[in-house]
Amino acid sequence: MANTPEKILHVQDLTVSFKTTQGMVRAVRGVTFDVFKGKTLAIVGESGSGKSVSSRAIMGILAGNGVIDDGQIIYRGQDLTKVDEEHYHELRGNKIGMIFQDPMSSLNPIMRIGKQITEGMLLNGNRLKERIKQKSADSKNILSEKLNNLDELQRKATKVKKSDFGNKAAELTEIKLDILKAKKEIKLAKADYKKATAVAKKEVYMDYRTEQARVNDQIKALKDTSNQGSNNAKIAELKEQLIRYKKVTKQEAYERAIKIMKEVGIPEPERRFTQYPFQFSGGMRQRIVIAIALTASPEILICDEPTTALDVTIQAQILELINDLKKERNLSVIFITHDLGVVANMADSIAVMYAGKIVEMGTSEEIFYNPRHPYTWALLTSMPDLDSKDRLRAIPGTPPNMLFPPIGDAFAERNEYAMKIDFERQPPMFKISETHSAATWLLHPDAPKVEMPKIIRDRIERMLNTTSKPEEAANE
Amino acid sequence: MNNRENEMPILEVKNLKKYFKSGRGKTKLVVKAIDDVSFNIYKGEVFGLVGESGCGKTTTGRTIIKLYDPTDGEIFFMGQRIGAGHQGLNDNISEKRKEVRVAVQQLKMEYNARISASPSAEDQASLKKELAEKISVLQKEKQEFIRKNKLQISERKRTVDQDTPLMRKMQMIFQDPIASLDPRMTVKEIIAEGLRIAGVKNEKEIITRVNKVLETVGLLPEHASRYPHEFSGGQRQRIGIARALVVNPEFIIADEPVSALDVSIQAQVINLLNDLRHDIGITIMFIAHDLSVIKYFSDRIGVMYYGNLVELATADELFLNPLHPYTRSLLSAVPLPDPRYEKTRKRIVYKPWEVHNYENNPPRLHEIKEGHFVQANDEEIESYMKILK
Repeated sequence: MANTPEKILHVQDLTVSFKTTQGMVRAVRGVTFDVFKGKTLAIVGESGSGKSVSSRAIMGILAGNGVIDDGQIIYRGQDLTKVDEEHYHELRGNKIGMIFQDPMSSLNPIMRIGKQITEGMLLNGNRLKERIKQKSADSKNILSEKLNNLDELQRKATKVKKSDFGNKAAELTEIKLDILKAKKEIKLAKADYKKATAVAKKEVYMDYRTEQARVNDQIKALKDTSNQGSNNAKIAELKEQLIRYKKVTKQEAYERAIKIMKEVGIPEPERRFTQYPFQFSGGMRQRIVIAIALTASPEILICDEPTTALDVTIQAQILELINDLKKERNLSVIFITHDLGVVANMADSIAVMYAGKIVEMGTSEEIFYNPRHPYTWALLTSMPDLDSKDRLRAIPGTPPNMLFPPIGDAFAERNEYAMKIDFERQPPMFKISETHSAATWLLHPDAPKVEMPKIIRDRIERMLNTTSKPEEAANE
Repeated sequence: MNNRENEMPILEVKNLKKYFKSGRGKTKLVVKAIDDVSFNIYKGEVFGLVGESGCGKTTTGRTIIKLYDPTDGEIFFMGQRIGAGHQGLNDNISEKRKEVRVAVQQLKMEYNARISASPSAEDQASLKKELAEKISVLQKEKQEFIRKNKLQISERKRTVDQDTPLMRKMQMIFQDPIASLDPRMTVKEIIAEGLRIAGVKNEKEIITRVNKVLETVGLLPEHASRYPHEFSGGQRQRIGIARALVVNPEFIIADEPVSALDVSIQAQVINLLNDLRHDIGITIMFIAHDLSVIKYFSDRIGVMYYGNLVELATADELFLNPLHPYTRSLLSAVPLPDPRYEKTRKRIVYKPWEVHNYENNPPRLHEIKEGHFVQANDEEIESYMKILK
């Protein structure tokens, strides 16, 4: 366990819009966050805040009219916004898995559970292809690095073109030369990659043929011996071995599926394997969906409101399951929800989103015990907890229409603490601590001192008091 | 709430049962959605009903407002019986018939043996006579029993006839504000539909009443000419509430009115319902699965589990002294916005087959403390008493 966990995913200034007949809907407007290995990032916000859209952009499954206008999604040094559909297949599901909100509509109702779980394994089961890819990985990495380089240069060029000051022409020509050089290098790298693949292909197939010959010889030897009866089983086993060298067999997929079904807590997996989704309860269906996501052992798991359709006890079970899996497999989880209560247990860090922007970001303790943005306050006060008696402080109005995003702070209209500047200029992210930041003008040194609402202050005090006496808290 | 004993409840549910049947022969399946549930709701209170999905809480609400016919049991609304099922009486009759049939057979066997054993023809004749007499007594008793039960059945059937003006005092708010509003009707038409069915024909009166009720729920009169799709989720739920309110009901059944709404909108709707209850004095039966909302909103709470009411108490009492293991497990599953508490929170898992031993001592709903009912058998009642002390 290292002290500073490895950063796996870095999202920088992601901007996503949707083309509609009324105009462009600005769903996500410049979102920046990091996902660390083995940690959970929770994205909280109401519907329409852009939380699902950001995660879909990471998965590369935006709706057809969605466009990534700007920004980068860096996964292991690779910019996902530049990856084309053909190569996305290698990432989607394999490296980044996703669980959807409604388990009924994400499962095929007329396909047996077992088939749905093993489908991905069998389709991606060509082991020879995998080996070829592994062998040519080095030259591929070089190529993608070069491509990234070129990208960087081109971005630099547009930046220079846009900027007003400095010696524009000289800089431009310099960059252009660099670009030309980079392009040449890419050409070479591409050729290298092609060659490497061809070599790898040859090697892998040679290996396979020798293996084939070896197994065939063994089978022949077995067949020649007199006692046929006991040898038949052995021959079948050898044949299976040979097929497994080439691809994932049905038997193998079945075994693995049963193992994963046990892991996600489905009793009697052998019997359940041949059943249909309608024979499962809501919680069990969600477990199946999780099992399907886990078959490819992804590094990042995106959970898009996985418990919204479930009731309290089942919700608690599923949350526990996701937490356990995260620990066991060292998964990184992006957990999307609109319920702040749910994430207190799950999240290491929390990003609160509103109208396509992150308004507050911090560790879960910082968000719950020291919230700074009025929207976070509003979210916390609008839900009754088990001790609240006073009138709820509802957030007045509705979220803004993202066809015409507001000029200033998007929350200003519904914010009782809004100042004049909130309607004119967007607040930047003010840093509160190393991990905690919030986008509100209230944190500007010149702003009037505003305390958080009394309800939250009381609640936080109460929470901190009860947790110091854990037994009492359990009794409540 | 202690003086409620003498007060007449606005709604009284007695041994309510609702079974759903499907298939026939070998594949016949009876789902006991509600299995013997009794509770009272008093004027002006909010009665919460919680439980996981599939426990029968929605079915209870729908049976009370007579969207379903009850299988057995009775429902009284403002002192008048509005719904009753007679499955139990039917069962009584068929059971009696079976009982008598078995008894007669036994008698016959007994006497036949004695008859064949007895030597003289006289004895045989007298024995035969005795047998015939005994059978006729049984048959008469049976007929009397059946007559009584049938009388009850017909009486139940008779009183269950729709009393429309009374039923209008009971209205329902549905869960999904998108699915429960007709997309091809304007808001005014949606709200006025109930009025028109109630026989209000004066267009002017309809408009004034619609506008008034729109104001009550926090919408504007100019919204009346719009269609449901032009509204946000919270506003749509307000329309649903307005539709229920326009006929001046005394009692509203709210079936998960906030579950489908966004967090920030939920608070608006809960506040609205709270205002209505204080201003108009409406009685509400609030069905939900979100415990924090139901705790905040209800005076008394009933916890349902697989068609049974397992615990019933005032909101504070229930959360302070949960007795039934299912209630405890439900409360332990509530997530709170408190990371440090969450790290220590232990979920209690409810396993009925481990906790209860009901084989020779079946449970019943027992009032263990004033106003606090719990379903338990004698042994459990003792152990619960100890916890309370």
